Amino acid sequence: MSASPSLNLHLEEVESLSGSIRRLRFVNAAAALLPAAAPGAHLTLRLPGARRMLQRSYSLIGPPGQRQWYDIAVKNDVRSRGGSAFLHAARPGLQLQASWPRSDFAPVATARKHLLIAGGVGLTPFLSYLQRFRATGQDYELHHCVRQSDVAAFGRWLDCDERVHLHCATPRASLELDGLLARQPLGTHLYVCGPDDLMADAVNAALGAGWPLRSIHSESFGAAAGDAFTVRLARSGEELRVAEHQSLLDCLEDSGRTPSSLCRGGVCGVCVTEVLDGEPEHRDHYLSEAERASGRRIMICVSRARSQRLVLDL
Amino acid sequence: MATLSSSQPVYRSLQADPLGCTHLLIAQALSATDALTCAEQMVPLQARLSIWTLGGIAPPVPDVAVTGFADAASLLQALHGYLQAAPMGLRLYAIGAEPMLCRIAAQAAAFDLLPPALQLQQAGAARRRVYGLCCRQWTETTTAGRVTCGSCGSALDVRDHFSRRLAAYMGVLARSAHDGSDGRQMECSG
Repeated sequence: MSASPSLNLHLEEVESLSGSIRRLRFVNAAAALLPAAAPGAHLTLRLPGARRMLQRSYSLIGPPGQRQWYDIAVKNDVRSRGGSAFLHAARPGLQLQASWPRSDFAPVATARKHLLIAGGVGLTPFLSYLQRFRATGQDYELHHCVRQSDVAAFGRWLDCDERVHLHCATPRASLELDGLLARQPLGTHLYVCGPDDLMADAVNAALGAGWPLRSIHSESFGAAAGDAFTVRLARSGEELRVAEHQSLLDCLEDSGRTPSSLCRGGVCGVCVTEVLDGEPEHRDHYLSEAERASGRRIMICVSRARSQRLVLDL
Repeated sequence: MATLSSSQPVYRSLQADPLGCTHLLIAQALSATDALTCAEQMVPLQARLSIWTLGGIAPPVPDVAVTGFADAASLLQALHGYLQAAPMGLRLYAIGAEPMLCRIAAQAAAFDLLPPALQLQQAGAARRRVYGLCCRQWTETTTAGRVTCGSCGSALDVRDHFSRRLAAYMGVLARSAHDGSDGRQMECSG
């Protein structure tokens, strides 16, 4: 995984937030304070899987900076690759290893306003944002696209706040992105987290309204699904099949390899890999436009292949 | 500028950015040649462009209204109001002398408007805005190296360090040939 130090965590408390979302509270197994985390920080947990240890990242939803415990919210995804299913079966007393919290998605300190757009459980990194913004009096506006059945799950964080707007219709007819992005005042920063289509629509609406790239921030965890393709590992000559709901990184780990990775969300750049042949489908937020256009590098945690086969320098 | 530190503003020839949705060009004391060159660059933005001038020749972009300002203070005051109401798709272009560009850049930065959404081009005679640490006042100068503080008359050495907040280069009391002291620690003489 990474060179970052690890933590031994003890699952202290579990709470059902809705039929499919549960909150888990971890404390330090060594009965000591935990490292402080910035708004939007995530924790990478090491979870036992069927064939190997899984690494799954979850946003911390507690108040930024507090060190008594870490709270995460996990949705039980029917397409779970093992992480959410395990955590939905977990009981207090469980011991887990985790990375130190890491923040690649912190709000920009110089912003005059923060515009947050979330889809489903993609709201979780923003829960710590909101606590920080309310404490410091920063201007913000949150739009949450959420199923009616999950509205109550995050009520304690969102209720009684006129700057929070819920969009429960499917498709999301009530969230008119073009108009929303076009009317934002100078100095606004956009943060979007959720399903790929929501993220792409929000980013495209911002670009269409003339937003500079530096004001647009997005984060995607575990949204690496797409058409299946074959990856050939040039150094060994081995070929692997990357399934529709499997990331390239997961596929490599399932085969017993341990490629370098950290955020697993296309942000940190640790898993960048050389492409020798084939056309990557870039989904990361790390590579430059020139690197994307060259097609010679890929972030294997989130990106996939446009071509039937991808040859990597592995 | 002969040497550049990371704090110094970056100047380049203005280029229309079609990705923006609203465009404001501020032109200060342009010559006819500079105005014409600038207009050629801005023509593609015609329908979405506003031009503000402070003296000199206005860039002749067809069908674009020009608002003239009598002095820098009234232009900067109007700019503050404009930025408060402006949307995220704004592109701000400024061409003129460095002291004015610095003040525009500082105001834009307060609204988080930074390059590449902000473009600055130096034009006209070289001028520099200096913040004197002697009495904490600004002085504009046309000379390089040592300048005289316009407020207290002290000799100032101009450092390459540029303060975005103060929109000026730092001027420290000139090192005395006799005491060898650091000018930043000397008391104001005026």
